[in-house]
Formats: sequence, C-alpha cells, structure tokens
Amino acid sequence: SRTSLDVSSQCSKKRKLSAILSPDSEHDQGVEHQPLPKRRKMQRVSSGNKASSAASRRNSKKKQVKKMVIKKFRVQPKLSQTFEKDTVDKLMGAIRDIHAKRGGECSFEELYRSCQSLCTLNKGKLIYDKLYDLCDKHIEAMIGSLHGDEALHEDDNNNLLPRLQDIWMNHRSEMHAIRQVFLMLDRTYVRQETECKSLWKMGIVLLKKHILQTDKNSFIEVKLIFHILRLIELERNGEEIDKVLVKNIIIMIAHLNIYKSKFEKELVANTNEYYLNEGNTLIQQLTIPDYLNQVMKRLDDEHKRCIQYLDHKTQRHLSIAIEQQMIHNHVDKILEKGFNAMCDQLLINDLRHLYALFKSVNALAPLKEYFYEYSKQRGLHIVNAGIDTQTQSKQDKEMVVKLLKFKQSLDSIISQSFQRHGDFRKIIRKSWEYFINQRENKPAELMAKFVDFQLQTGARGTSEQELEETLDRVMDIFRFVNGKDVFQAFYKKDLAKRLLLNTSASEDAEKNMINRIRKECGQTVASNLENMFKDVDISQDLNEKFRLHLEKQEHVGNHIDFKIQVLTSGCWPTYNTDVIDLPPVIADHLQLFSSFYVRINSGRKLSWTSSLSHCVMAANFPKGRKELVLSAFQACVLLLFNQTNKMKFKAIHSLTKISKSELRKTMLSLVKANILLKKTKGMECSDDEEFKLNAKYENRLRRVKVNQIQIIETKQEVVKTSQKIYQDRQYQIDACVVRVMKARKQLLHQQLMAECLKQLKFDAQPRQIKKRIEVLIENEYLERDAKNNTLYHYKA
Amino acid sequence: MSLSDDEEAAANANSKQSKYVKLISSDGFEFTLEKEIACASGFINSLIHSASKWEETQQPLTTLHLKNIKSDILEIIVKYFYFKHKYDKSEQDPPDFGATHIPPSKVVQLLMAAHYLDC
Repeated sequence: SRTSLDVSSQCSKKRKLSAILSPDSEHDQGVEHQPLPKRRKMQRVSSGNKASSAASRRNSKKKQVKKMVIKKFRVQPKLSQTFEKDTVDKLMGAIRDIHAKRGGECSFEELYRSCQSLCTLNKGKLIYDKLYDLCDKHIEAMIGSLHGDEALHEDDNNNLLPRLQDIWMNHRSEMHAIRQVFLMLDRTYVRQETECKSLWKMGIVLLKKHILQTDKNSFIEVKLIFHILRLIELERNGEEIDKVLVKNIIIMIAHLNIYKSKFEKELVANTNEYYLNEGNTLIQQLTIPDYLNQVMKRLDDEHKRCIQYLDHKTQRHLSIAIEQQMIHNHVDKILEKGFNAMCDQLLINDLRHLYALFKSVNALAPLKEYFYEYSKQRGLHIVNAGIDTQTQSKQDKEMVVKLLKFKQSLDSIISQSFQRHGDFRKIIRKSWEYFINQRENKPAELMAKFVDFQLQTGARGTSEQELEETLDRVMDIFRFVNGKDVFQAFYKKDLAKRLLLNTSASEDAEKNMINRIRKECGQTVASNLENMFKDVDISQDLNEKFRLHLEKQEHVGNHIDFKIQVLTSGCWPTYNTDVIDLPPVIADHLQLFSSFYVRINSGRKLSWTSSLSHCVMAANFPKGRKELVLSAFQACVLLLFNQTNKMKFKAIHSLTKISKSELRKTMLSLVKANILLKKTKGMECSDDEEFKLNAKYENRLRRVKVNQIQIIETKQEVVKTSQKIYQDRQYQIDACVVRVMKARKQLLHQQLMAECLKQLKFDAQPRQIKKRIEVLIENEYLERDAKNNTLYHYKA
Repeated sequence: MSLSDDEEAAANANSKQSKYVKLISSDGFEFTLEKEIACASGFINSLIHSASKWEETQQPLTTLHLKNIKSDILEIIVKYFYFKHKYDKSEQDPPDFGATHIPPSKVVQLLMAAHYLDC
C-alpha cells in the first residue's frame, strides 16, 4: 500500500552514507561495531594477516561481478614507540582543559582521531580507566568545596541550591564535551564490555557517589531536599521563587535516581502536612463556596507545579493529598456549614465543585443524606406554611407556585451540578413523597385549584407552550401525592363549572390535561371527565334541534334566547335540584323543553338545576340602561323588585322558594354589587332584613357581571367537597374489607389491616379502617371469632 | 541526553560565525559548504553545536582538518551531503546514490571515512 511505501522510502532517504556503502552490515545504534581494519594509516600490530583477508572477504561480497584483490603491505608501517603514551597524554590533557574550562587550544578533530586510533589499538580499557580516574578526582574536588563549607550546614543559608545548580550545569556541559571527543570510545569499547557503563552514566555514578556520600553523613542530601521543600512551601504561600533553579535541581535529582525513592516521599509528606494545616484554618474562616474555590485553586496550582518543575507522575499523589486533607477530613463540616445555603442560593457552579470533589474522596453518601434532609425540610416548610390559620388562605394560594419553583431548582441542581446521578433523583422522590403527604389532602386540593385557574380565561398572559409546560410540571409533583382521589374530586367540580359557565380558555388545553390525568390516575377517571365534554357537545346539538322545533311550532309567547345543558348525572358532580319559583316565561320554556326531550329520549328523567343557571337581564335604571349578567337566583329576586322598591327577606324567601342559605348568599351578593341596599352593615342577614332597590345605581360598564359568586369557590363548597371525599373513602374501605374477607374467609386483625392498607389507593388511617370494620360487624358482614378476639370470619 | 535549548542557543549566539564550514582533506583540498548541510555528519554536527571551545570553532570560519581522509573520498562525501539535503525534504524517491557516485575502487576507503564522520 501507499503508506508503507512512503515509510520505506523515508527510511531509504535518510540512509547514511556508510549504509549505502555496505548494504549487508546494519548501521543501527544498537549494534556492535566491528573495529575496522585499517590498511593505509595504521595496522593492528597483532593481526596483520587477518586484516587483509577479512577485507578481501568483505569486498568480494559487495559487487557481484568485480573481484578485487587487495595486497598486503610489503613493509608494515611502524608505529612510533611513544605513540601510545603521547596520545594518551594528549587526551588527558584535553580532558583537564575541559574541566578547567580552558579551551580553544586543542583541535577537536585531532582529539577525536586520537581516541579512535587508540580504540582500534585495543587501548580502550586503558583510556576508559584513566578517564574514570580523572573525572573522579575532578568531581571530588568540585563537591569537596561544598562539604567543607560549614556555612552551608545552616538551615537558612540559601546558597546550597544555587551552588548545586552550578555544579550540575558544569557537570553536564563537561560530560557532554568529553563524550563528544570520546564518542568512539562509547561506541566501541563500552558497547563491547557489558559491565562497563556509558560515559554519561559513568559521570552520573561519580557525581552521585560524591554528592550523596553514603558512607559519611550525607548532609547534602538532607539539606537539599529540605531547601527544595522550603521553596515549594514559599511558593504555595504566594511568593515568587526561582522556578528554573528548582527545575534544574529536580532534573539533577531525577538523574541521580533519588527522585522517587527519597524526594517524592518527603514531598508528599510535606504536602499532606501543609494542606492539613490549611484545611483546618480555612474551614473556620471562609464561607463554603469560597473554601471550595480555594481547594480547586490549590489543585490547579499543584497541577501547574508539576508541569513546571516536578515530575508529572507526582501529580496524582499531590492531588490525593489535597483532597484528603482539605475535603475528606472536613466532609461533615463542609456539608453542615454550607450545603443548605448553597442550595437555597442555587450556586450551581459551587455545587458542581462540591460534587466533583466529594466524588473523588468517595464522600457521596453524606452528600446524599444532606440533600435528602434539605429537600425534606424545605418542602415541609412550604407545605406547612399555611397551617397557621391566620395566614392560611394567602399562604395556601402560593403553595403550588412555591412547590413548582422548588422542584425546578432541585431538578436544575441535579442535572447541572450532580451530573444527573440516579441516586439523587431517587432521593427527591423519597423526600417529596414524605413531605407532600404530611398535610393530608391539602396539596392535592390546591393543585386542582391551581390547574383550574390556569385553564380559565382569566389566566391570560402565558403563551400556550408555557401553559403546557406549567401543567406538565404540576403533574410531575402530583405523582408524589398519595391521595389522588382528592385531586380528582376537586378537578371534576372545577371542570364542571368551567364547562357550564364557559370560562375555559382553550379546548386543546383541556383535552391535554385529560390526557395527563389519564396517565396518572387511570382510564376510568379520564373517561368520566371526557363524558362531561361529550355532554356539552350533545347539549349543543339539542339546543339547535329545540330551536328548530320551536320555530316549527310557531309558539306564541315571549321569545327568549334560551340554552340548555343536559348533564348525565353520573359523570357530573351532584348539584342541588331544589325547585324554585321561576318567572313564568322561563318556566314555560322549561316545560316545552322537557316534553321535547322526553319525546326524543324516552325513559329519561330531567331535573332542573337552577343554582348554575345564569341569564342576561336588561335593567332600566334612572341613571341608565344596563345589561346585567345574573345567576338564576339573583334574577328571580330582582324581578320581584319590579313590583315594589322594598322587600323583606322573609317575603322574598316565600315568593321565590329559594333555600334560606342560598338566598342569604344571593342577597349579600346583590348588596355587594350595589344593586340593592340593606339596613344593617356587614354580612348580617336576618329574616327581617329589609332590602331596597338602589335608585342611584350606576356603573361605567354597560354590561355588568354580577354572577361572580357562582364562579368563585366558597369555603363551604370546599368543605362540602372534602366531606364527599371522606364519604367516598369510607365506601372504598368498606368495599375493600369485604372483598378481602370474601377471598380469604378468615383473617387475623393485623393481616386484614395490612391487606387493606396495601390495596387502598389513598393513605388510610388504621383508625378509620378499624371503625369501618366495627360498622361492618354491626351490619353483619363479618363476625368475630368466639375464642380469638383478633380473628374475623366472613359472613356470607 | 543533550544540552538544554538555552545552552545551545547561547553557544551559537556567542560565536560570530559565518554559516559556512571548511573541510580540508589530507592532501590540502578545501571544501567550503554550508554548516547546515555539513551537519549530515554526526561528527561535524557535534563539533559545530558543541558548547566547549575548540580550536576549530574559534575562528570566524570553522575549519576542520580531516587528516585521514583523502580529497577524492571527501569529494564524494560532500556530494552525499548535498544529495541527502536535497532528498530529505522532498517527496520523491531518491535515485540510487551508490550506483551513480561511488566507484567500486573507492568503496572501502569511503566506508571507513563514513564511519569516522558518522554519516
């Protein structure tokens, strides 16, 4: 393939000349070099014959065709006697020059050549040993000055490190120069002798031997580490240090092979201690977000430090040290001091740091605990805010809104700071299930009210999407509520009102809501609600048909714009169907419709609910003509004032036949609307109360809605609904107990309780169940065992 | 190991050297070529980049006496330097240097010179 071709061509391009010349000998770094025979200049004294025959053998391998014959020298070239000694002296002299930094007098090439000559004469060992001695003495002299200097033993003497750095740099450059000159030695003799070290390594060994001086008390080593650690500590405290110096010293330490064994250990111990102290002091002084920031900064610092002058392998140890000392030791304190505040203020970034740090020290368990407690506490606070009846209604109105906001903030904390960890979501579920059911029934009722409000036309100002989102979120927290039937009851009531009074904002929104309810509460509930919609549609149809019917009949009489809603009694909430005395016109129409309806749907019975009916009435006041939107009750009452200006409560009651409680409400609402005046102030309304028509009535609107009272839910209505729910639950308990007993025939009291609690969908009190069991025993559904008091038998 | 970058830079900056190097063979022939190209040889490379002071590098024009290499061999070597410099960077396959430039009679001497110069 192409790539492999490229690689090989690259290799071939970089071929050395010597490789080109001898294709069958490898010219790699790691291969032994055979000492080449020299013919012209020098000759190996010992093996002259061998040389030429080896050469001829090699040459014959090269070019296939040509054969070369190399003849021996007739006269052996002789070496001068002193050649060896002279050359060696020259070399040693050069080394001394290097050590003394004298230079410029020797020819590099000449020295190099000399070294090569000696190597081929097998004098490699000789040179090597002499080199070793010279270097040994030189290094000893260099270091000796350090050992001798008493002042360097002092702790606060800063000169040790710079001097060591100087020594090290010198050593490097000297050894480098020596190696360049004695390159041949390195490549030939050293390679051959396996025990022999390369020149560079030899230098290191000597340096180590003298600096560390393992036989004497090596103060250099101890002091060296001490000084470095001190410098690092200075830098941690914020001061500037000479980073180059430290870096070079550390490089030296690494080459001397004491980095890992000695230095790193001390460094880690020192780091641990430093951060232990810092952790202990700062945890008291700083706020938790600041403290966490400080920890992150320290981690970052150490990371930079490792890049700049320490070995990168140390990085991990240092990070662990910081995390251990600053986080692990203070886990509880951190959580106790700052967790709740951080969550309240939604400090997402700081929480993210917290999570990351705690995760690396494996402290997620306490974090979870604290989160659970936080969620529970705050949630309870919100739910119970309205328990004090003074501010109850105000607080309760805001409960749902606050709950939604709370859930949103918790969710954002989990998704952004805690990386959507599944355990935390479980914690939310547990804590919400706990606190939302602490205040029985109220949250569910308030949620229903909230949804009702959202779905009414009054809740303009939110876009459709926002509405859907809000309702989704409400359903989210609705899931945690145990008593879902409360919600259903209130929702049904509110839905009925919305449908009948036509205050629903959008049909789509209603339908979507029903879908949500279907998901949470089941199909039966949802279909009940859907039937209400169906009824409304059917009623529209009926109204059309009735109108046509009337036209056909050519009915003589007052023609009024007339709409009927037919409600299937099972699906809708139960309403009061007391008959009141309606104006004749209306009563006629009702009669007509009844007969019309019965004709179409025989076998059904209609009962009229006046409490939800409303009408528009034209009223001629002295100050102007008005159109009043009134409830049926209000309309009946006002029509009475067509005859007279003043009326007593008693009289109104007997004429309209409206129940006293309803009548009271109605009268008060009319008074509030300023249409009627009454003598006494306030909410009082006795039987003898006298009402007068307000002649001075005026309103800037032409069409006035007076029937607000129908729309707004009163306390009594809530109480009524709650009672109904309670009643329903009792029936459910009864049904459950009987069902269980029928299946099991006999059960112990405890077992029966357990079964029922499991099966009932709402939180039932054991007391309640016990009471129902008593009732059932009275009604002879169950009986107690004669011998065992706690055993029940099913009575068929 | 090699010297740190600072040291090398210092070494080069200090010497006010031209960028040529002169190679003198045993029989007196002088070859002047750019330092960069001559550094194909490891020997010459370490000399030029050495931090120590050597006789050769003290002069303004670095002069290297190669007392054991003859001129005809040195000529081939210098040709090799240029050959290598040219084909190191390009993408094409280099032609066979050995076939075109190395006469068989000079092979052995060339081999030894190459070993000496580390190239």
